[in-house]
Formats: sequence, structure tokens, C-alpha cells
Amino acid sequence: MSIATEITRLQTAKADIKSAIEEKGVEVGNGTIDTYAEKVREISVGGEGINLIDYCTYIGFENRNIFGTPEVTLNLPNVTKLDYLFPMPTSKNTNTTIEHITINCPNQITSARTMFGVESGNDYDNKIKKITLNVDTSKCTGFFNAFKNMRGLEVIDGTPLDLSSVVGTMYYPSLNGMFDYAYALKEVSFVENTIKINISFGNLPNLNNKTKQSIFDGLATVDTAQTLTLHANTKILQSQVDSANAKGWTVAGGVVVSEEEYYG
Amino acid sequence: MDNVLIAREGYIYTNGKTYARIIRLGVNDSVDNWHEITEEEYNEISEVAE
Repeated sequence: MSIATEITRLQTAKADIKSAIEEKGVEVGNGTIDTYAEKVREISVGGEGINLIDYCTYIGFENRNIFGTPEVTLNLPNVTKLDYLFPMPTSKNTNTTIEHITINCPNQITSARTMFGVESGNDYDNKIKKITLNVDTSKCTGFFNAFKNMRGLEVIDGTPLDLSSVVGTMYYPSLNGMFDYAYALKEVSFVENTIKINISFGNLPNLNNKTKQSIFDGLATVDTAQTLTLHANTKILQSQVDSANAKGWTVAGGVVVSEEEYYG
Repeated sequence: MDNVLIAREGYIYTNGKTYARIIRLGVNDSVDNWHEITEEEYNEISEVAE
């Protein structure tokens, strides 16, 4: 490749970068390319969201303090894996103010290992209360530790979780640890008949009735014994247990109550 | 009910992967897959896992 060709390529790239920055509302002017990094940092977060064009790792861990607003939206037009997308820190981080994260991804993701959770430790910044996942998970093969240790998380909404492609049971890929220690979780929903392997809500005493029904409806009919684990105090109906048992699921934990007590 | 296992006071049922005091067996499961451990043993396992 000749020097002239290389110069042309770099000039084109510079013009493209300038256009991309200005599309985000930041005037670049006539400065040299050396000034472009600072212009990128001027791009405001929130609102329309941040467009990430590649498979991202540790975006939350390394860049946590650049998000100064309670509401953050991430647009992921080209991402197909959400592994370690926004993992929690392993020590207290008092600078984080995020309370609600929205993930918009038009692609079918294939992996979500430790998407928001953290794999070990026991002292976390837990300000995140809500996650909105506008994501097709029907091809995702694993949610290992996806929400583990998110101790302030109350709601996961958006597209119901489709776990139909998760068939592994060993470490990863699997559903192991998916909701472990997410003690405050009340709401999450699943696509019917898509849960095929062991799944645990054993640390979650606050699930609402809509979520509990979604869990039972989410259980697929299985040929080998699988186990649904519930918190010891989770109120459930005998009809829900019977339905699960008939589909091949053992129900561990939970307490069967009358309809009057269940519906309050 | 034949398919319900309730652990004795101070014990927890396990199949090696899942732990709970009350187990309601699915049609593909068997009582032979579950055994009791003490709550102390369970607490030790839980601390390591967390």
C-alpha cells in the first residue's frame, strides 16, 4: 500500500470520526485529530443512549464513574454477547449513582455470563434497582452468575427471558448462580416452557405472585429430573407444584398455602 | 403425600446440588436421589459457595 493511499485512508477515517462525533451533538471544529478524544468525552450520556459497536467487556467496571445519572441506556447494535457487560465491583464503590439500566440489543445474544453480577465476594454497591432488558435471549446458551450478588435489584423487565437454549449444567454455560443472592428481587418474567434445566430462586424471598406464576409457566416438560429451588418462605399453590411435578420438575423449598393466603 | 420429603429437625435434604427442608418430587425423580445432611454441614457449604 503506498504512502499516498495510506494518507487518503487516514483522512477519510478522520472525516468519518468527525461526522460520528457531531452526530452526537458535539461540535468538532477544525482541530487536529489529537483533539477528538476530548470531544468524545463531551458526548452526554443518557437520553438516546450510548452506542457500543462491538462486543464489550467490563464496560461497567472500568467506566463506572463516567455515568453520573440514575438512568442509563446502552444501545448495542452489533453486540451478540453480553458476558461481563456490567459486572459489580468486588468492593464498595460509593461513586455509582445508577439506579436503572436499559439494554437495547436488536440481535439474538448467545451468551450472558456474569452479565451484571459478580462471581465472588460479599460487599457490593447495590444502587441498581431495575434492569430493562430489551434483548432476545432465545439463543443464549448460558446465564452463569448473570445477576449474582445484585443485592439491591428489585425488577428485571423488558423482553421476557427465553432460556430455551440453555441446556448445560456444569459451571458454564448453564443457569448456575443466575439469581444467587439477589435478595431484593421481586419481578422477573420468563417465556413459557423455556426453562429446561435446574434453576434456583432459593435466595429470593420477595418474588411477587406474577413472577412466581411466570416461573412455573416457564418450566418446560423434561425427560430427566430437574429441580426448581425456591426460598423456604416463598408461598406457592399446590396446583403450581402439581403442574411442575407433572412436567418432571422437583420443587425444592417453598411453602404451600391456600388460595386465600396466596392472593391475600 | 408419597412424593414429599420433609427433613427432620436440624437437617436439610440434598441431592448433591440442591438444598432444602422440603422436597416435592417430580415424576422423573426418586427419593433415592436425596439424603439428609445436618444444618451445620449445610451452613459450611453455603459459606464456601458465597
